[in-house]
Amino acid sequence: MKNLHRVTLAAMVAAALGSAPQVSNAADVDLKWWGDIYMKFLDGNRQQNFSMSNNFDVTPNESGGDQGQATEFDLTLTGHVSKQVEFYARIQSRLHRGFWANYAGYAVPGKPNQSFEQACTEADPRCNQYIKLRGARVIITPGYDWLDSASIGANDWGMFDAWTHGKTRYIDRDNLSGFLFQGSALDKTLRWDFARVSSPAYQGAGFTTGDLYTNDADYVGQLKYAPSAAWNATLIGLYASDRERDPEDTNNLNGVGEITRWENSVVGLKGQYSGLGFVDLKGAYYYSTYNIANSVCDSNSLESCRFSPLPKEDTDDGAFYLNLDFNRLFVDGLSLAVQVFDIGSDYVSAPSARREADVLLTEGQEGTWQWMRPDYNFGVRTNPNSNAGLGYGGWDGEVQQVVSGLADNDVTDFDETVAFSVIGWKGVTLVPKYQLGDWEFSGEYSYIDFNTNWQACGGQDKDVDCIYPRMEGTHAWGYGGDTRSPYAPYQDRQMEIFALKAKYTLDVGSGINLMARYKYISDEDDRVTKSSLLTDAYDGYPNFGDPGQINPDWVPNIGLGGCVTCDDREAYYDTYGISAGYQLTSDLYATLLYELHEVDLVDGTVDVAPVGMGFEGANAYGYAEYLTGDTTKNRVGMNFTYFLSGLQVGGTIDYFWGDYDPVFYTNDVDGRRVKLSPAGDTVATPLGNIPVSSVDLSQYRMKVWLKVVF
Amino acid sequence: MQRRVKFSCLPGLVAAALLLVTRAAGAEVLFSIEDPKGDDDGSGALLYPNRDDLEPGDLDLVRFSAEERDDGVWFVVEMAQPIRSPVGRVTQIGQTAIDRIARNGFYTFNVDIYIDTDRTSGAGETGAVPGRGVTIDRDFAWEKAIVLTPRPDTARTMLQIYYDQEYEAELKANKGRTSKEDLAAVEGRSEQHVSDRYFFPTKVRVATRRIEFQVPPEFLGDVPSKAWGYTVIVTGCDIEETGRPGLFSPSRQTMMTMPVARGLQSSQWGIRGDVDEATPPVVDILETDQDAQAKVLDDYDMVAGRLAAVPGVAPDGNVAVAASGKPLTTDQAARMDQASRSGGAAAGTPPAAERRTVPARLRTLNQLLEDGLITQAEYNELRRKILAEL
Repeated sequence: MKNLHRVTLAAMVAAALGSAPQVSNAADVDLKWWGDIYMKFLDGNRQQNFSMSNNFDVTPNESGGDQGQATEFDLTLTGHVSKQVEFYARIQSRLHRGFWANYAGYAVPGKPNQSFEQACTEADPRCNQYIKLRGARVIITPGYDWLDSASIGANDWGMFDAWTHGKTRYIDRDNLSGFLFQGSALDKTLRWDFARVSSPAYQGAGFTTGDLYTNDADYVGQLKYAPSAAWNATLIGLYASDRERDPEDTNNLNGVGEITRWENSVVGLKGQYSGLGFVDLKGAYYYSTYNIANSVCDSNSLESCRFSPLPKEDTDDGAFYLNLDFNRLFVDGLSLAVQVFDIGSDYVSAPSARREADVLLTEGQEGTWQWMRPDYNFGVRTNPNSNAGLGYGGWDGEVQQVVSGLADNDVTDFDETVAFSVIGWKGVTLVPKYQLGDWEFSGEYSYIDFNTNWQACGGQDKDVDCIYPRMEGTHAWGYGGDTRSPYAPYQDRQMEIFALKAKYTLDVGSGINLMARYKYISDEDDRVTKSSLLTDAYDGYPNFGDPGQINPDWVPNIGLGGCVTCDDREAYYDTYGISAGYQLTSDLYATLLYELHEVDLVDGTVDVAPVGMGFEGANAYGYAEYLTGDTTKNRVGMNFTYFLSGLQVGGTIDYFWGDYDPVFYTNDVDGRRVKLSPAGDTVATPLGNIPVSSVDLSQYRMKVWLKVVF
Repeated sequence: MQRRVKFSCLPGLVAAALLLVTRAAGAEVLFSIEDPKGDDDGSGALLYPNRDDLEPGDLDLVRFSAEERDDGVWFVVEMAQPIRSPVGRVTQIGQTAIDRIARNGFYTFNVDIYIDTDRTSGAGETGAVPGRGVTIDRDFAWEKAIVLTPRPDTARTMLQIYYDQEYEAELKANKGRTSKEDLAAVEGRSEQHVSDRYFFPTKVRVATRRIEFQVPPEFLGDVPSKAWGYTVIVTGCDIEETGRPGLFSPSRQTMMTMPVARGLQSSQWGIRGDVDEATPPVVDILETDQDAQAKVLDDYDMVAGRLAAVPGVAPDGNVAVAASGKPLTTDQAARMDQASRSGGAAAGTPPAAERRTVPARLRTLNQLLEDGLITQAEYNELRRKILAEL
């Protein structure tokens, strides 16, 4: 805590006001400041120096960084102006592209003629270690009986929930501002929170809140009633809207009218009961409505909202979960958590959590398979799409499930958890844990069905009846899919997850923490199930017949000869992992790990293309690629943390190696899928001419961080 | 590829397999103490922070027990709500995955257990871990402390740094300077002190609402007894110490205690504008009496430098004995109580203004020693503190 001398402070205030020191006011301010220096060091063999994060291609020229060293400086100031009024402000120099090698923004050597983005000059704020006001707020505690606290300004909005208004993710923390009022009644058994949060532009249809955006806002409130420790209930409500000028109102003399571009309402009821002792109950039900003006996503606008976090027509739907936590089941040491859940395909909450939240009990898929553009077939370094992001290794760990069309993995590092949209998921998860002596066992079984299982999105024509954003068009399948669109025009999918984990502390030295795990995922999707719909599913390939635009060998077999099993997708994942962690010294802890990941995938025959994708579906473009076959990756890694009297250091170093062995299928004369024995070096598919030989893959990557908090 | 395995029967198989495994390791429950539910608001004034991963009940201690198992002594703490996992969470500073630094399956709380093994009033330490904002009631002055915290190795280092500074300051006060040899001796002394007095569990298991942790018998010296006193304190864990100044800076150790501040924010316990700012950051204590917790945590005097003194619980129900070895009489206990509340003055002696003069406080101190109500070590320490104010 730093209490500045009153004269110093007065001088600062005076300087700000351009007047002589006024000690009387400033002296009352109890100013405190603290901060940190955060440094990040990246290294990898992808040799990408676009940014200091592993990024998608959303932020121009910041994709796929795996190289560089950079510094972030963060300073927070708070102070009490009076007993009732406090202020908070945070400034930060952000990493982005502020590499040490940039000379603090004095341009990258040898690139004077490069584009603005590539030259990384001092004029580019992402490169020049600029200081940004990350957030400022005023906190008021007036002492009214009905109001505990009011906060005006920046916040991370973590007081609501991931299903309605989620906490702002790390990179945007303190970027969103608004009004927050919180209070209590009935001897604190009833608590309430109400907020008006200015809408971020990315939240709207087509990732925009339109031309008139500055007053768009989300209104969210909740009432929490907890009359006893045994049970509580929460009623939560949200209203988000995007208002625009009325194009019909051309008269400025009496002001301009407004219309609604889109609006979204959610109401939820949550409850907990822990009065039974042996089992705790927790559940919630949410219902959403969403309306959007017809003009927003017409065919001439925003690519008909293909890239959008929101549907392009009105929807309403519900979502629920019920958790049962058996704290002791039959024998000592055995506990069981059960979750039943059902998230409607049309459930919409525009400001729900984008990441750093996990709404489901299941650990879901493995992060290592979530990077959708591994580019195994060709490995073309100059392909910007396949060159972006994480590469072969994907993300470490498991996935986080979010109920959002904005599942966001931009500006992440590989050691973070990847976020995955689970809109439309329904099923059950069982997680037993058992402790036996020095052993600790846990497991999972999940059965997952999908409310998004439909043909032509529930209609007859995918181009007419699909109102859902398809983003890259590769769908959240896992391996080869994306993470942010849970919608596919044709889907008949089910998934099962089985996992076992064992931990044991070996009594050597200070104890070696051993862990072993196995996980199996069966993910099957029959996609088109009616032969009458095959033509609709696989038509629409662009520029067909134009040899200058498209290789005719790549055009999908429209109709697949009536073979409805030819586009079936079957993915079987096996994961084996072992690790050993040890406290090497009182300051240094390190974990060594080995993982083996395998996928056995059939993604249709060589006549099947990603539904609804055109030239972007070609491997050469980078969004999708041919992945049928056996893929194996081994990971050897080390994590470590070190603490020395105010200095913290940590890091992850990974090395991956493995191979992709392509397999090809076609349809026989009876309309059945059969294995194809390639005659040449390549096989023509709608994704390109795919080499038949096995591909060896490897990747090295490192992230080390350093923090000094003062 | 023809591996369309269905795992629909797996739940049953798993359950059956687990049921077949009987618990090979025997466990004897040494004692179990229940704490009232719904009291996770400290002195009654604390409000849960603005976070989606901290909600009422999360830090509500409802049971504290100890078990002797084949593999040693295990303490078990049970909360009112399932314990939050750090998996998938990232830090405020940088985007470090929290489970990389909080490796034991929890990250939102600290639980301190101060154990009074001799049950002699005033014999032992009364200080709590830095940053907790309370002391331990002298009737439960402790000999051993167990600090369950998400970053045990870091916490241990921080505590050693704290003692390094304490001992160095003491040395400087005596000698006016320190030498390289002095500093080496100080480091050795603080390391020894932390090793002798504190244990930071690393063998930790979390399952729904329970967290259990192993403590080696050689640290405690014996199997936990019902005759010992146990003072248990639950605080929020500020895993990066970003909530308020305090931080990792050696000069301001808070040992990752989430602080208290007016209003509701994300990194600290909130209080209303009409609540005293020095309200301790302790969320729950082990206290069988439903009403006692608020009184204990609200009983402090920042002008006199007196922190709230948290009492423990003795499973056998016995009270501490005086330094003389005799049980405290009701009168003595009342005098001690009054003395501690008034910053050292005994009941019935001069009015407040005079009570706080140095001579008056020394007289009171002499009287307490003569009565056998404090130990010689306590006397020496308190006398030094009073004289240091001159």
